[in-house]
Amino acid sequence: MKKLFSALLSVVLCVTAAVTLTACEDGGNEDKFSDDGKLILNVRNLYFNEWNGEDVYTAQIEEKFGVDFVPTNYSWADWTQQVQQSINGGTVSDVFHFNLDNYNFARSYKFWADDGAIKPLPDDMSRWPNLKKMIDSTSNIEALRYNGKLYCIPIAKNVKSQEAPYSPFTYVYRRDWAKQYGVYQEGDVYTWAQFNALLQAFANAFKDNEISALADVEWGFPSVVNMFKNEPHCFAVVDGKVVPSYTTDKYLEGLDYAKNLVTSGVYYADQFSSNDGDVSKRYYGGRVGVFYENLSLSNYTTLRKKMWERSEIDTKEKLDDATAIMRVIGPDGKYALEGTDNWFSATFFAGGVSDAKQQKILDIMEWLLSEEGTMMAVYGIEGYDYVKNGSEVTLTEAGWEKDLDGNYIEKFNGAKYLRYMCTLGYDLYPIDPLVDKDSYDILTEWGAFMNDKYAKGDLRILVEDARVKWMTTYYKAENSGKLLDDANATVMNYVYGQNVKTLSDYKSKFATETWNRVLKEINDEMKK
Amino acid sequence: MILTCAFIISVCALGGCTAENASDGASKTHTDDSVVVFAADGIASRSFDGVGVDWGVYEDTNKLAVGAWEKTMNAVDRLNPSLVRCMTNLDWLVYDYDSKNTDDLSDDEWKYNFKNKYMKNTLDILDYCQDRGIKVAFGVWNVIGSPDPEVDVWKMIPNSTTDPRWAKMTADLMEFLVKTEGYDCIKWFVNTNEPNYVGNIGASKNAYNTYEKWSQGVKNVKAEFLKRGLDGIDIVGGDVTASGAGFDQYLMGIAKEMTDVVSNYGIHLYVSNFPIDKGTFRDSLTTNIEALREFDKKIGDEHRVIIWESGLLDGKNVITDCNSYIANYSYGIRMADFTVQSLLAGVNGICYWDLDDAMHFMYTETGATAKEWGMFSTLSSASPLKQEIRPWFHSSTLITNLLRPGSDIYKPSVESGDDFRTVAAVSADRKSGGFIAVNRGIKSVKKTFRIEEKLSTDGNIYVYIFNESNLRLDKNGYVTPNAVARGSVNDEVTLEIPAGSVAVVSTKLL
Repeated sequence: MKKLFSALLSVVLCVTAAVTLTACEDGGNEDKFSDDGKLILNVRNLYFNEWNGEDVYTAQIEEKFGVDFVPTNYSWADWTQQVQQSINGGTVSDVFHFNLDNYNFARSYKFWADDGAIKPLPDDMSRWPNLKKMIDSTSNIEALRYNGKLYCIPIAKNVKSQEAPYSPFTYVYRRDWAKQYGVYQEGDVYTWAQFNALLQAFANAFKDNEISALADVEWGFPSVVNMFKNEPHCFAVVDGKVVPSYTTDKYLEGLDYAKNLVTSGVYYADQFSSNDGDVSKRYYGGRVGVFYENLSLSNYTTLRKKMWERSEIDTKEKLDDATAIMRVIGPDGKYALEGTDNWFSATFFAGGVSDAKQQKILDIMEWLLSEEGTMMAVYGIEGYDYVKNGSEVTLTEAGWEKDLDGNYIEKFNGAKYLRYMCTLGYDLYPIDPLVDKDSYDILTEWGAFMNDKYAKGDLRILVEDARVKWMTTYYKAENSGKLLDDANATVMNYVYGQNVKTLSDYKSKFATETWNRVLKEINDEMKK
Repeated sequence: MILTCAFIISVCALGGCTAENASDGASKTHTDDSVVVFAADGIASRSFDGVGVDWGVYEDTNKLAVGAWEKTMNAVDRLNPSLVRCMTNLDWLVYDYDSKNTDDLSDDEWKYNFKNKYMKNTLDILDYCQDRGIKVAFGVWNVIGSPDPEVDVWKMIPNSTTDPRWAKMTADLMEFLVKTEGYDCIKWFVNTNEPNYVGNIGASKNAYNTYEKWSQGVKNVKAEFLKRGLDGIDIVGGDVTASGAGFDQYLMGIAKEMTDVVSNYGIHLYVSNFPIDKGTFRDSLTTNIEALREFDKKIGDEHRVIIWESGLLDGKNVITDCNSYIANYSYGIRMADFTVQSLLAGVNGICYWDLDDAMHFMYTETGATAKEWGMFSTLSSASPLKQEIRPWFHSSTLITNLLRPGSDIYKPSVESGDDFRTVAAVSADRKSGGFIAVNRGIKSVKKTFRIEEKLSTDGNIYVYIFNESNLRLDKNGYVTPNAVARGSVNDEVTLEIPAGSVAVVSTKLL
């Protein structure tokens, strides 16, 4: 019921008459100022949640830059719709956040740019070197330029080091069960045969129970196909021709394998009707042996915390054994992981934002990426939350208290939230007091292992041909999202024998008029 | 039995020590910094309404543990709040809406269910407050209907509280409570929670709200109250988060143009640790109140500033809307500091957010989870640790019992550093009083206190120390004095206050 929490700030209270000052600049919307002369910035972001910009950290930034933040947020479920509504309704915030990807690029970014709904970044970004460096490091950055302009700031996952080109979508499993049933392999490394032996051992052990040997996070099904296919989603290039990735020989081989796992009772029987979050809850509940999940630090930390709540898991060793990460070598003798960009989503400026306001926001972003801004976002206020002696940072007791479990208590720090406008801050994980070190260490070790395999050519990364991925031809732009959704449904229906009974039925779903039109268009474009 | 301990170094009449229990010898000569005098003319507030707690209507009493109500009663008995803010939801109480298929809202009809579990819980809370003379701000969280226009039948949200049905509904509710049920403990009506927080269209019931709509809504409600003979009900002016538009538009707007309708400036304050720890919170609040006073000279007298929701911002988890600090002693120390700074700034009353975790929930796709901000939890699903009384209940108990409504609040004559803050209270009948002293430093401090305003007491002085090491609880698990001495707070009371502690000295058992 309580909708908002507010803080009276030490330095930013407006005490003069409520007269709004305005100034018109550069033909954009009128800049608005608070009663005490601060430039009002309407900022909206998925990650702002209930942050209302009224903490002391935000106040210090506001004072430093002479601005007054008015933040609002998006909900994950309605993010795209909320952005579209605000743009269509003319109520878009000065700075907003959109889940930009290659599927919606043409219908959002390019459309908005043509319509003047978004404002390009300045051509010369040299005034903001941290920001410029981050943007220049963006994978596929050229694909995001339109008419020579960049209309967004791709939100970097990591501004300090190059992110791995693969996603941590992989298997977490019950190592304790593997040991119990005699199928554990040293170092959690499983050959394809050993992986199958483990799944079968779990399925045999729990066939009369509510426990599934294998289950996937809802969006990830059927994960096992990844061990066969080469492309992550819709399109594959075979002999120089673009075809549906779902009908390639490798994909069909994986599909057949997945179907067998379903019919043999290895796969979670109700995966078909599972709602978002159901499978993770089943894993927390001790009802899944091998779980395919996005093992981001956040997700993995949550998973370990949930497992720690189980009464039988009362030591770190038991926890590690219940949340171990599998390293599965596919039938081709290689590990396989889905490829990823080094950014996720993007920050946009509304078309009517004045040059002065845009520059002010860029100034703030630049500072947030600087060492000073980063320290504020991670630790807080120097001298209060932490003290610095050379490069050594010591957290103060007053600034960083611990809860009854001995974990640092989260601070309500606006700098951290604002920094999400430009980076997700993966680079901060090693120093962030709020990061669960055990989870971080396990994932880091897994990442190092995979990097090593990648360097040796033993890791296959599933990527879409870049020419196709960012191609924005008309029919592709119009239909890509729907094709993807329909394809996922078709795969699910076929594997579980629902509606799509035969392979012939299955293949026919990828030979429709829409598919054919989109593929023709792409192939024609490829020939140019 | 007279208890003594090392915290009380001495209690001395002005002519010399009459009692002494000094572990390291009494200090009889003081530097200015070590002497805290509350001068008779050092008034911070003469219009004090006391300290209380947010005790809202429970969203689902079916989730309460066996014995929850008895536990709550016992706790509130001990807390002894002077103020309660009790919010409900009209969606729980109205049904059978009939728009008559016309555009005329005045012919709309609906019914009330004043016998369901929500109203039963409401009456239980109000019974308690009525019996104990607790002043209640009773209100409604939001206008009725769904923020999703696709399913909203009422269509009240776009016009917010200016909708004519709103004034009628709220007056019906208040008439039932005040006139039919006789709860004259209700002194204020809260015309929606935090109307300045508009949120997003489709997700927030406030999405279309503006100050103009809210103020017109208040005027409509007030007019309807007067028509129904509910003259005694004031309206909480704002109930807003007190910065940005909450201050500039709502509170300043009230000061400039609404003092004929409302006489209570209601604000919500959730503050970062930093300004509390550094003592700058008081300065900000003082500046704010002075700005209001420029337009409303009655502030601090007939017109009161009350913080109807108060808490700390750090430790808040934005996903779960829980605060991890509430289990720590530091939360109690900071909320005591918050209280002292607020009183020094001239605030006339405070409610702490909140009493019981079981009252409110965060609703997500994965279900409902309790918003943990309380002094304890009576949820059956809460872990035993969470069901225990939290430390800040005890510090709050000392404050609510010392700072009684009608007391005069006194500032110290001399400020003594950034890490030490204190305030004194003397009851209206001059038969009790005492002071709160907050030592936020890393070393213990020795201070001598004296209240100039003459008190007529039974001659006992009760000393309480709140920190993780020194808090004393009785067999029922409630706070009990660390020391009792003979003497008077009109004499010099010298205390050794440990680092990071709240000391409360009272002439009566709290």
